[in-house]
Amino acid sequence: MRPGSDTAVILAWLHLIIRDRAYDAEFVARHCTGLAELAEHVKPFTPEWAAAQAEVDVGTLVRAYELIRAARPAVLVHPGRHVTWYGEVDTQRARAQAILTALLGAFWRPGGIYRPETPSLADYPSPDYPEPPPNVDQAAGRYPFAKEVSTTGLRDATRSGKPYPIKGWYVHGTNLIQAMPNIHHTLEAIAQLELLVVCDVMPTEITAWADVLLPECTYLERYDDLFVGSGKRPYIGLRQPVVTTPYDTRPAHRIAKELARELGVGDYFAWGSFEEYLEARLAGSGTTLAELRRTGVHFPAPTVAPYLAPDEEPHWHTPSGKVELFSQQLAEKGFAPLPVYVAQPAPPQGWFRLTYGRSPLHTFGRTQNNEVLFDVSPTNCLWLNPCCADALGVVSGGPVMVENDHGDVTGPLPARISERVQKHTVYMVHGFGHRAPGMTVACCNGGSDTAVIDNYAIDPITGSTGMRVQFVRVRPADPQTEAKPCGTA
Amino acid sequence: MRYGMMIELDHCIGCQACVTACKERWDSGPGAARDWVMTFTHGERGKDLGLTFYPGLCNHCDDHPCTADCPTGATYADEHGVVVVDPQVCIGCGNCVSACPYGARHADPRKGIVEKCNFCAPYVARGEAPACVATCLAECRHFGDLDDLDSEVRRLIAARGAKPLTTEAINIGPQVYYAPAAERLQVLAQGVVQNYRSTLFTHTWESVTRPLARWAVAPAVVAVGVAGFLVNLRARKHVEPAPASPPSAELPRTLPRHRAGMRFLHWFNVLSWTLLLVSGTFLFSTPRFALFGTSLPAWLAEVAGSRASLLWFHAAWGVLWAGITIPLFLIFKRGGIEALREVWPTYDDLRWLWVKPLVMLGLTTEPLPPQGKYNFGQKLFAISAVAGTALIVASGVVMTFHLGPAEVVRAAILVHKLAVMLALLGIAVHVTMAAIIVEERPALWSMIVGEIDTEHARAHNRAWVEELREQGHDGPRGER
Repeated sequence: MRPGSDTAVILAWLHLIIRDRAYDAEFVARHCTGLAELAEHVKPFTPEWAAAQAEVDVGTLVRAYELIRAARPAVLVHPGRHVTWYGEVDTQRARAQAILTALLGAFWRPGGIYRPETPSLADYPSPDYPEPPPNVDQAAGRYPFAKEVSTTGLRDATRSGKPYPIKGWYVHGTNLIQAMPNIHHTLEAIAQLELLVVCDVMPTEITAWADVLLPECTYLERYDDLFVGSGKRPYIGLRQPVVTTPYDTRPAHRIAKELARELGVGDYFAWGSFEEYLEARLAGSGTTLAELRRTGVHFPAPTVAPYLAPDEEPHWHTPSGKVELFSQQLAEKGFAPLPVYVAQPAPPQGWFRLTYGRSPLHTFGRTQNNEVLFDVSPTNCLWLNPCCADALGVVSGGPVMVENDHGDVTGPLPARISERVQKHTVYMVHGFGHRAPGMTVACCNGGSDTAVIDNYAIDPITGSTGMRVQFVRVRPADPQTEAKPCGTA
Repeated sequence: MRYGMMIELDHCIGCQACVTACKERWDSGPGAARDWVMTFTHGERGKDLGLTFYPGLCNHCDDHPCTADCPTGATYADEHGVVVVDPQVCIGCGNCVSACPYGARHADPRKGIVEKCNFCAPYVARGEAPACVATCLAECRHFGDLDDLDSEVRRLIAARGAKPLTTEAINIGPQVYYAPAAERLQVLAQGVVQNYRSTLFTHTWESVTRPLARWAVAPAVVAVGVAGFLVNLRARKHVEPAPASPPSAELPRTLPRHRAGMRFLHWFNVLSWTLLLVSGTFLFSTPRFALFGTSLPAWLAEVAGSRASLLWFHAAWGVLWAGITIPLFLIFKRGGIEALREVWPTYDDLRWLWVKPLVMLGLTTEPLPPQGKYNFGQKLFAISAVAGTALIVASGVVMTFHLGPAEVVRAAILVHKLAVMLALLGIAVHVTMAAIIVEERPALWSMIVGEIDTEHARAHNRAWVEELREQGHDGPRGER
């Protein structure tokens, strides 16, 4: 599909389901509100309209609908992970997907989305936390539905001093240079800082900017907090060391505890050893640390059924307690209460929309330095539709450079010419293109998407950062000057 | 029990966790892995654009043609039908690699041996699953006993209509089953089953090396021995021609000929050649490579304990042999210069080469041209022995320590064999002369006691004796 057209397709499916009265009438009647408004809203969204938006065959779109219809309620409309791409439309898309699930009666139904259960564990006893001051987003009065403070909000406050100045960052396990769009803004913000502390396992790009570097040991050398697995079968997992630490690196929880002691807030970290902390949390859980050391995982007896009982009247997480197809909450904050579609602009001639994603081999930008994974997947590629490759003089596997309109450039990375990418779009796996010399295996291989993503779109509803709004150009790498990415710099 | 696997192609997500788990378990070197996941994109955008992952591994075929192309017998199918490589016997020649239609073998450059999937045999033997099966997060791999019709793998093969990757032309009984049909056909359409073929090495072995050994070298060795006996018969009818000059009172009855070190070296050489020739010949144990049938190699491997111990013995003795003979030779022969001086041919040598065989066959009574300490036959033998030894040792070192890429190891096998055969021809003449032909017995004796009968020397090494005589009263400057 054309990137950004997902919502159009879902709206067309909603249109068809309501037109054909193919929805789960009982589920909708018992658990949902706002069907009438939704039915009126989706009337214009015909399959033909959606197919044109998505640049797909209308027959395919309708066949997919028929599959969904025949299978209901056993249909999983999963939003995926990392679902902020274009800004406000992302929340609208996510709502459209959830509404589709509701019309199919697939919430907490077999084959649809089950009801997860999270085992409850005691906290380690500590004094009450003081009420923190409003975060920068709250202070600025933005992102009414945000659950956390936004990274771009923190960065902008650091750059501008508004709504209040920020003078220190403590960065843990996040390579901000690769994780955030617009590296220029990140560096501007770092320049304003009085103190930058970085705690990381790998010597990533951000560690080079740190005033204080706190090297953390790897997960194989340390206890971590209990893993509370929420799912169909709830579980408690132990993460325990399997090798002793060969260097003077420490677990993050020990670093935090020792820093807290120095800062006079050691009461919040009152345990002696971390085993003691784990033992205390496991009290009353039905298992012990000694047992978990042996078994690794404990499965407490489930207390919540994953699927709705026939006469169950659950309270859904909304003001009305129902599945709100029409959202009064959004309307009150000035946002569209029913999912709307906004087409993303096509890139100008000669430009491409840069999309990115994950390889199933790698975890973010953290695993490229692993020798085994590197050996199987040493570089990312720039995916390019065959139609555009010829025009650009790019050959399959040949090194290309990717650049944006601010003069930022990344590469060289090999071109992967494939029909799997749409013709106005290029794609690369995120996490490559490391330039930190300490990343001895990964350094200088591939390209970094965030190195050329300067433009981003904040979703005003949630404050999430959308990073698929950057247009880039692609050209073959200059064999003289760009063959070796780390030649001089 | 027959181990096999079933793979659900429609469940595979192409994450290569199987490849990384396998690489870690078997410590595969950079760029190497025993299994693989290929990604095939097919069809046309807007119509039938599709994606198929092909997780592949050794199919553990019923007819494993790959094992036939192994010269040393390092690879074979075990009692569960699992095709394995014995790393103790594999010398890394890589000759089996191209024999697999699925590309399931590779020469690991770091380990210097051929690697392939063994269904994690040692782990399976203690009740664990193969690494790829245990790690597969899509749970698309199923492993088990194909002979057990109630096994999960059998049940799934039936339920999903799984079939192996075979074509009309190539079906060697693979035991990895793939489902469903559409994805399996898509994988096959990508041409993943390739014609298997033998290497230039195999062709050379079959058309040159083995015929040479069977029909040229072995008969020649026998023929030389027989000729020796014929010469003896003939010599009995003829009277030795009288010595050209009367016995000299100036010289003792015997002359010092070989010092003790050289004699040790010689007999150590004899022992080594015997042991290495026998063990080496029968290391080639598989039907395609065995020089004189497979039963003797099998018997010898049994005597040695295993093919691995026979190979170890051959390699260890070879190293010992080279480690003793080469330094000693260089010491005794002053870095080889003396040896060069000793074997340098003279005009009389060339004439001797012509006259000696005629004399031995009784076709002439012409006196032999005067010869130095070594006659030209001995010189020729020495030259071929030294050159042959150098080639044998060099190629043996390549094979023992798996030096270089597989092509180099393969070349080393051929060089080793050809050099042995060449040297063997010389040895046959040498042994016949010394041990069979009665007339030359004093020479054999001199290699045991170190002294040679002066009269014999006068007849055979006149120039040397003259040289000794000229050195006069200081006594003969032999090698003592």
